Amino acid sequence: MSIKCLIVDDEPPAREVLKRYVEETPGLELRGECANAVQALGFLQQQAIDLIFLDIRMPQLTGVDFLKSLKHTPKVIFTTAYSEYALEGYELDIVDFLMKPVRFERFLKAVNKAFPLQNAITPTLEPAPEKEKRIESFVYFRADRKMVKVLLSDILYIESMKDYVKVITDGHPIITKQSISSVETMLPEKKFIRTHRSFIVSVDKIKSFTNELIEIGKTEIPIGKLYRNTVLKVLE
Amino acid sequence: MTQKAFIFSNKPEYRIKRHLLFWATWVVFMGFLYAFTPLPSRLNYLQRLPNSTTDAVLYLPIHIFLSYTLMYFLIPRYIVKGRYLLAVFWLVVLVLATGCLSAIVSLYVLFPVKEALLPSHLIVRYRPSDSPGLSAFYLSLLAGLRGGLSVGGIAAAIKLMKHWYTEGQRNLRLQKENAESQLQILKAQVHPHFLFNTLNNIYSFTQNTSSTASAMVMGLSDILRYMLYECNKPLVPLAKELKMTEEYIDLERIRYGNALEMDINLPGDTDGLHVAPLMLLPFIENCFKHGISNILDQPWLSLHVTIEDRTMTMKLLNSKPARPSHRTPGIGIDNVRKRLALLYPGKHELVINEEEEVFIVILKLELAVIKNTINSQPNSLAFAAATN
Repeated sequence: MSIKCLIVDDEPPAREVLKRYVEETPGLELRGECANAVQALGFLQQQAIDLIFLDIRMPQLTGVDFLKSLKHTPKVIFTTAYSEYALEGYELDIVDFLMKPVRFERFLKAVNKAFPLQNAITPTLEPAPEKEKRIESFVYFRADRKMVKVLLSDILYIESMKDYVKVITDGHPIITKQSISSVETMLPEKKFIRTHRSFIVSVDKIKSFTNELIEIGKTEIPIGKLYRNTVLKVLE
Repeated sequence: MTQKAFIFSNKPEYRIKRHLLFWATWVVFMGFLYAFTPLPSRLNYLQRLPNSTTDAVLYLPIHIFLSYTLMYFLIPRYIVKGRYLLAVFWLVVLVLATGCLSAIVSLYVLFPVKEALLPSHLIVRYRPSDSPGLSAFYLSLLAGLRGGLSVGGIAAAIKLMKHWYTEGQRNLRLQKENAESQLQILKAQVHPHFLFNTLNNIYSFTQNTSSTASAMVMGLSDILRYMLYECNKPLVPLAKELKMTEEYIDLERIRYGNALEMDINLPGDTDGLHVAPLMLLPFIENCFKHGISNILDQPWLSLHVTIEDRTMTMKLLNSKPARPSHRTPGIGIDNVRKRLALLYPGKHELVINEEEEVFIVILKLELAVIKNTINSQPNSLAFAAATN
């Protein structure tokens, strides 16, 4: 049993969008398109329809007036470019209210709301352009006149040397002109901690620690007096 | 300006000076005023001053008690909040308490102190306790109370006047900001239906030919709809603001092909948190306007938003040219600063750190939680909200 649909909209391209959506949705069957509400009245006298996609602003007869004139109303989903109609929509008994342009996912949600039993409806349209896979977090530093990309997960620790900082990674260390405090603000607070006036360490890379020292790889990094309380709180 | 600061500033230095001046004036005033009392009649006006000034100083703590309980307890907790019945109740309690304190001072403190300090011929010998029976008690009650009521009234009046004044100023400023932003919205709202119908038609025509184009039209429509229809609300769901931020980035990145490297990390669950609209977007806009678009070398952008309890932290890094062609901090950012100061006083922290080749913005906001009950109520305006 498929759901018999009717599209009522005065703009051909708008009908085109809905037509495509209906055709791409299994369980929906497009029975007709009307360019205005008067036509639609005639159409409804000829055959029974389950679901109307109804534009509101149309010449001659608006979607709202059309709906008020019907005795037996099928389920109705309003489609409009006017957000002001959202209110009025509820006074009439309608299923949903779609704002043009409508996303396909939003369209499906409305259809599922109209016929909850058919919740097997799944899109056959190609899904919305896929968000690329989670990129690993990174920052860029300038070193030797080049911009060097550094994955946060590669950073072991960062050491300050006067006006420069040295970023120690699994690969080559990177030396860049920046203050350690400013580098600190670039890094996620949860993943990196300042352990000393001159050191920031990556929490995940810590092998072991005492009250005074943190061991990362083969390096021992001091914990400064001022930082001790916060560092130990985070590590424990 | 300094006069205004002296009266209105909440900085301790001003407050302390202001209050000291007030009470010093009061003591001097009381001293001189009560020296007019024709007692003892053998002394002249000037000779009566030491006695009346000592009285003024000794009753001062009682006056201070009444004034400060009015200003910092009764007014903020009951009067400003409109709980007038309780206010009357507490006023009676405070006045009675002041009377009792006054009686204690009159009966037990005043004369011992005066006798210790002043030569005996300058002391007014009349004591309330000399009067018969109850009237002694009433007189001692009144001694400190009448002055207390006067000064308490003055202090309360000043406090209320300042309260309504600052409130009024704040409202004026908010109204002005509001009017300005509404004007902006109106300008854009000339014919939104034309705009959205046209976008819908473009979407229709691009659907079969270019999926990139139709995705862009859809993204643009979402952003415009958000700005036109939802940004006039005081608060929007944080999830929505983040979604719009993401869509904005998606639209902007198309200009760079694959050259722009991005690291976007947004929270999946925002748990009913709401934010004033367009608090985050201007920062992203700024990145593209001033930073990324001028970069030849390697443009990059990193946006991390995290939530802890009700505090949202946005960390935004982006590449910027080593030598900026023209230095403008961005009007957008100035506006956000103003709005932050108005809408999140004491609840935000904004750090903007410009390094040689990276621009760092850290924004922390303490957000409001509004549990979303709208969708579960059928007869409401859910449709207006369900446009995503």
